Amino acid sequence: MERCVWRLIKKMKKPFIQANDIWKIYYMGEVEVPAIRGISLEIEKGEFIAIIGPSGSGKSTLMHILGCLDKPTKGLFYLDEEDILKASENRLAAIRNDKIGFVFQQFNLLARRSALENVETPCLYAGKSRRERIRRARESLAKVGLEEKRFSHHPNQLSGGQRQRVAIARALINDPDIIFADEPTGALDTRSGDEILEIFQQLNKEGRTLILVTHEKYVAQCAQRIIHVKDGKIDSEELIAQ
Amino acid sequence: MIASELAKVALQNLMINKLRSFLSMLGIIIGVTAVIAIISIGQGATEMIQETISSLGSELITISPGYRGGWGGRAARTAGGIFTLELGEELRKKSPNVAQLVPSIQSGGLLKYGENNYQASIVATASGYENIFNHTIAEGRFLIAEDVDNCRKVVVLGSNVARELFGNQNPLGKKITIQMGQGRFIFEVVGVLESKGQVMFFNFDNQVYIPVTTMMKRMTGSKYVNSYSAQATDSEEAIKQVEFLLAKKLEDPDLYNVTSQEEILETIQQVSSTMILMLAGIAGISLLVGGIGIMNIMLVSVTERTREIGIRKALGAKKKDILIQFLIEALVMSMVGGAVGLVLGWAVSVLVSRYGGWTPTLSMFSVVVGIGFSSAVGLVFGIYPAMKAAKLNPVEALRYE
Repeated sequence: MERCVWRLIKKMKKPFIQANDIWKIYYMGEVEVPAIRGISLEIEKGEFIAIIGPSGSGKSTLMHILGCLDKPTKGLFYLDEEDILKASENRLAAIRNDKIGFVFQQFNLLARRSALENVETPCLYAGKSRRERIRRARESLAKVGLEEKRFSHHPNQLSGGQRQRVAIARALINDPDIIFADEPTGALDTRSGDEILEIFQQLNKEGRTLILVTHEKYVAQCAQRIIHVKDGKIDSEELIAQ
Repeated sequence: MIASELAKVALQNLMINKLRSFLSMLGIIIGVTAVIAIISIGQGATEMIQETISSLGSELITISPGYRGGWGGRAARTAGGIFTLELGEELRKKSPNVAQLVPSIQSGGLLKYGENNYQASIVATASGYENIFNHTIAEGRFLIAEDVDNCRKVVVLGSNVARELFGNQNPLGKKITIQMGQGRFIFEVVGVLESKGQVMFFNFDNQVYIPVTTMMKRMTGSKYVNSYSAQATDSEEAIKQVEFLLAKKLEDPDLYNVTSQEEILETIQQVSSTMILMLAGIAGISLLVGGIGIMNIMLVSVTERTREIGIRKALGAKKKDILIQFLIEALVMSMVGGAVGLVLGWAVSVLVSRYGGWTPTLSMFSVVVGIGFSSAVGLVFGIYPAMKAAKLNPVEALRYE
C-alpha cells in the first residue's frame, strides 16, 4: 500500500522536461564536432529558466533540442513523458504546434503577412477554422498589448518591440505548455527589451513555463533559475531569490 | 482540411511577384496556345477539305491506269492503250452497283475566240459526267448522247474559260477555235458550267468539255481513253465488281487502279490527323519548356523562402503542409497559364479560320489536352521543388540568411 502511494507520487512528480546525458554531434566530413556534450536537465511546469553562456557554448543547440526542433544524437529526452528520440518528424511537428511556442531574436515573422495572419499561423497548422483562428489571434494580440489598429500592419510597418509582441502572441496562440525565447531582447533597445521581459514575467506569473536563452546577465536575472552552459556542458546552476 | 487555406497563401505569394509569376507562366501560355490553335485549326481545315471533296459527288469511283514499273533502262510510266470505249460500256453493263460510267481523256489546248485566247484543260468525255461530278449548268446544256454518237464538234465551257474568252457576251452558239498540237478545230459552244472553284489541286472552272468520240476520231485518232469515272450505288460493292471484271479482262492487276472517293477521304483524314498530331507534338515541346521554367522559378522560390519554411516548421507545419503549399503554387501557375493559353489558342484559331474560310472547332479533346497537360506539367515539375522545401531541416532553415 505504502509502495503504491509512493509510486503514484513519483509518477505524478515526473518532470515536464527530462533530459539525461544528451549529446548533439555534428559531422563535418570525417570530423566529429560535438555541440552538446552530455547535458542532464530537469524542468518542471511553471518554472522560469534562463540558459546563459557565451556564443558558441551550445546554448542555442540546447534550446533547439529542448524545443523539439532537432533531435539529440544520443541520450534520453522526455517531454511530457514522451520519448522524443523515438518520435517521428511529423510527431515532432505536432508537438511543436501543440505544446511549444518559440520567440526568436530576429522575430522571424512572415514578412508578407499582417500581424494578425502571423499570429494565426500555428492555429492554421492545428487545423482550426478561420473564425476560431481570428478570435484566438485577436485575443492573443490583445494579451501582449498590441493596439488593435496595428493588427493589419505588416511586420515592416511595426517597431522592433511591436514585432516581438506579435511573435509572443504567435507563440501563445495554441496555449502551449512551454515557451522558448532565444535572445528575445537581442535586437531591441533597452526600453522595448524591458517591456518584453515584463511580458515574460507576467506570463510566468500566470503559470506558464518559460525558457530564456541569453548571453546577457541582466536578462537572465528575470528567471528563477539560471543554467550556465559552457563548451556544450552545464557549468553551474544558480537559483535566484525572488 | 487546410488545403484551401494553403491555396490562398499560394495565390497571395504569386500575386506578390506578379511579373515573375507571369514570366514563368508564359512558357505554359505559349505552349497551350500553340497546342489548342493547331488542333482546332487543323480540325477545321480538315473538315473543309472533306466537305469540298464530298461536293465532288459521293460514291465516285475512278478507274485509272496503273504504273508500269521502270526496269533496266526503261522509265516508269503509266500504262496506256488499255481502256477502250467498249471496255467502259462493258464495265457499266456488267457491274450492278455502277449507276453511271463515263470515259475521259485529259489533254490541253489553246482556245481562241476573236482576239481572245486561253490555255485550258480539255476533258473529252460523255454525257453523265456532269452528274458524276455534281456540276451545275449555268447556261445551255451539257454534252448529250447524240453529241457523242455523232462525234459532234460541240464544247461546254468552265466558268473561267467562258469569262476569259467572251467577257460579258453570251457564249452560247458561238464558234471557238481549239488548237491542239498541229490541228485547229472549230467547236460550237453549247453550254457553260457554274463555278465550282478550286478543289485540292484541281480547278474545274479552267476546263472545257468535248465529246470523247470527237477527240478520238477527229482530233487524235487514238483508240484509247485515259480513265473512267463512275458513280456507284454502293462504292465498296462496285469496286469489287469492277476489279473482278478488269482482272478477268486484263489479267495483269498492275495495269489499272480503282479508287473510291471514300478511300481518298480516308487517306486525307489519316494524313491530316498525322500532321495535326505531329504539329501538336512540336507545340507540346514548348509546354515541356514551360514546365522547366516553372520548376526553375519554384526552385529559386524555395531557396529564397528557406527561412519562411523554417519558421513555418517551427510553428508546427508538417512536411505535408509545406509540400502542398509549394505544389499548389506550381499548380496554380501552370493551370492559370493553361487557362490563359486556352483562351488565346481559341482566339488565334478563330482569327485564322476567318482567313481560311472555315468554321473553327474547339473540341472537348483540345480543351482536355490543354488543361490536362498544363496541370500535369505543373504537378511533374512542381513536385521536386516542393519536396525539396518539405525536406528542409527546421534548424538549418531558420539559420538561413
